[in-house]
Amino acid sequence: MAGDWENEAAAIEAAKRAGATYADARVVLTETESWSVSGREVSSPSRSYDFGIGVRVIAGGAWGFAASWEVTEESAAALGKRAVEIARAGAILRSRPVELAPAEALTATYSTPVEIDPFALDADTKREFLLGAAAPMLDVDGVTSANGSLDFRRQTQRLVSSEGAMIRQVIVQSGAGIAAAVGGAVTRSYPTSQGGQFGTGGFEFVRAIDFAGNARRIAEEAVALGKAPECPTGEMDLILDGPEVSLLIHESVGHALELDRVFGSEANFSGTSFATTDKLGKLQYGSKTVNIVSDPTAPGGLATYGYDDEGVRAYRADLIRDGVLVNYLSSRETAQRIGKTSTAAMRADGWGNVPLIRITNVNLSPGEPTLDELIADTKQGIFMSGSTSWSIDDRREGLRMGCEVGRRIEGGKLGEMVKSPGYSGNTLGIWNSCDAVCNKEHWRIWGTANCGKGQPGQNARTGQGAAPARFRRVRIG
Amino acid sequence: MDKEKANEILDKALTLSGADQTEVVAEEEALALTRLAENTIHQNMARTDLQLIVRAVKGGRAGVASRNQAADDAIRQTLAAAMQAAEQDRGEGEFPGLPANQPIVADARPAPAISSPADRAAAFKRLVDAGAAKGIKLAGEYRTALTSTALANSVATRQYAQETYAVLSVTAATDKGGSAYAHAAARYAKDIDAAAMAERVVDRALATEDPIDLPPGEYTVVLEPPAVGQLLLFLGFMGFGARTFARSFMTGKIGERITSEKITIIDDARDPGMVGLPFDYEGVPRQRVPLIEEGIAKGIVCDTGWGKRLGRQSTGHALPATNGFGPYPKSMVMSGGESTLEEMIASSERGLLISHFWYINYANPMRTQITGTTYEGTMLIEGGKRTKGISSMRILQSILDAFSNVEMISKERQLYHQFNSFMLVPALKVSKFTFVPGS
Repeated sequence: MAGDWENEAAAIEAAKRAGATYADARVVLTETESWSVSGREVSSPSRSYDFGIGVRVIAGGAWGFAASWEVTEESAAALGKRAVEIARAGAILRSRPVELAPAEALTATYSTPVEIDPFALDADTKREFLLGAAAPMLDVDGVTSANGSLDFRRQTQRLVSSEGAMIRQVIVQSGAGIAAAVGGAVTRSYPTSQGGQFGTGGFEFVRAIDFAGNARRIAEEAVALGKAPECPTGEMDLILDGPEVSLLIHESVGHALELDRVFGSEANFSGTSFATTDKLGKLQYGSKTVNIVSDPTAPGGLATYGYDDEGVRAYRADLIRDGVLVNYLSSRETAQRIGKTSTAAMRADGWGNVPLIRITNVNLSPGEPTLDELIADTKQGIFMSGSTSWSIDDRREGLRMGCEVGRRIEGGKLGEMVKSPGYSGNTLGIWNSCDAVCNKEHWRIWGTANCGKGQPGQNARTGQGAAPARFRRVRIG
Repeated sequence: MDKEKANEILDKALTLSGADQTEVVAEEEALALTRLAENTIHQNMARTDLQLIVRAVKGGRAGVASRNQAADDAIRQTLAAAMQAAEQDRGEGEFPGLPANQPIVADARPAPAISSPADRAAAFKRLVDAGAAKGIKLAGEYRTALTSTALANSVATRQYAQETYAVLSVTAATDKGGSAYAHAAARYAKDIDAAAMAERVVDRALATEDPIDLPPGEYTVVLEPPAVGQLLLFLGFMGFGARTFARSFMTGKIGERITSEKITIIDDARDPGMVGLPFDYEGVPRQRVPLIEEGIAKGIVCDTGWGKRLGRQSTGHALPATNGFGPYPKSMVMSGGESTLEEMIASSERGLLISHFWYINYANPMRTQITGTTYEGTMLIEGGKRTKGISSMRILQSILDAFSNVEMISKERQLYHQFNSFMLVPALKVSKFTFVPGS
């Protein structure tokens, strides 16, 4: 990325001259490369390059933001001035001036540890890897389509603030996944149903995914599902596979604890939250088994970074301790309103968007049992894998989830396969019914590469640390 | 980006390309957006972005690359990346070739400048002032955009157009659980009537206070245009595009009845009430495509690549080549009926009035079954009158079943915007709409 802070400095100076009481500028370059395979044919890779500058200010007690793909000292200065004009226009509807919780103005750098740079790797290696991951699915009779994808992203960014922060980061993310289908209605995927598993790291991250040990298995399951009976309905015990626990965390904990959402800033689009601040320190969110942290420092997580987009150093923070709500995902502005410091959760989708509070790596702490032990300890229930459908109400309470495959549990043993399994309930009921989480051997930070929030729509990449977990007496079907 | 500047970029790229065939898209968007929450403007922004998308064809293979820069070196780098991608392609079959000699689509409609932050703040202030004294808290979004899109390929196709749109949406909440939702979209910001919207959301928020719970089951519903637009959007995702067609509710159904004969859905970017580019991202003029006509499945939308696979012609519905979604109908128009919203309510002995749905997701795409919840402003209809607010309820509903159970359609239609698509939709009265346990 060309230049060395001059453009950001020009933006900050112009904003200050125009009357900003705070300003920050981010120059961001995002490079992506995506490969896909259908059958045995690997399509041409798609590559993108996205570069620009965004300037955020406080003026007249209100926020303003201006951004452009043109990155020169002149355009940056114009953006700084324009952001102040925008902020002042909005100040006519402001119930209180924006105040920021204190944060150290850091001069710092951070880079994702990368062993094999995916962007420098030759095309043949990537193509052969993807073919090798997906091809075994085609050897299974009855499979009508076998697909796979491979994605890499490198984000190089600089942040400068009027408080003196100067932070440079390079974040590298990789991901891969496969799916087998039988006709139009039945699909099985691996490692997750949401485009695969994603994390920070280089090509070594995707090479560590056990496609060889699972491609044939999921293809066979896809075929078997075509003949499987429908999932039974009624109240029963539920064991969710790790990626499905991850999705449950994402929808019912991660989003629910975004403090901007709690304060209503997404009321018109992404919704609000039942977990209002009067419940902080009191709400029994889950059973005592449920301990959840925000940890953007966790190695390999998709939301692992050094500093958020307000320049706050990433750190691990308890969100739910022994089942009790103890903190939120927060920004400097929202943390100030509850008398805390930011949990370093502010992130923007590239240069052209304002930072919002986004799910970091929101991790459910592992427990003691193995998955086999957990199943053996369950008299009757359903084990579900592969999310297909998810929907939760606008306060993050009532939810309904669907999965690719279920297995009956009878007398502590996995039994018959069932199709179209799903469950529903409400956030507090489900988390308070959680009585066991599997151990570290089963625990991963599952990456979600397509989390949407905000207007204009912003995509964020989040992580949820999870292992298979059991929930008692859940409504199935 | 005016036409002259756009042509400069396109000509430079076509001149520098060493591909057998080359397609260049240059698109600049100026977006301005203000967000409101709890009667406070909490986000206020303007952004200008430019996308240069090159598709290079070499030896029957196509490759795509994009870059949001358009200086000479950026053009060279994007061309090189697209050529490299073409050389690395091992995908299905030969690329069919770029569409040649497409007629130029003139669009004489003026594209005025986007709104100022002061204009947007004033609109929100009008809304807030209408509700604040009555204890109503508002949240909303007001966005305007001006997009300049230019396309040229090496086989004599060249297009240029400017498009503008404005969207204002608002949710209202009271301390007693009252709520409301309103949405307005138009080509020009001057056609957005914030004052009229203020009156509607205030009345609705107050009328829905102290909402009651209803048991799950089948209800007659009156769906306001935004709710209809959401159903249409998901129907489009599930089967109106060529990529999803082969494994969808439309498979094998062309020519058969799939909804009530009252339902006609046509993708038509040229409808006077619609917003949208007059050509697609391959430079093909967008055709008027009947999707469902008087209840009969009629057709799907196509681009060049999917047209070749399916033995069809492009209908001018290609999305940008960087997009993996395939062709999509971004300008669906549902025919209006003869009723008014008030007549639908008056004719309902017991039912629900629904403004909008929340968090719709697929439940069973082959059956067009979706799930989601009712959203702000839902009301109970009793004896032909709106009586009470209703707490959130979860739906589990086949869209085609809902369109088969349509009893009345409003004459008046509203433009609805979501996920970069516009839909011109009426209100519908639908019987046997399914609600399931859990919110």
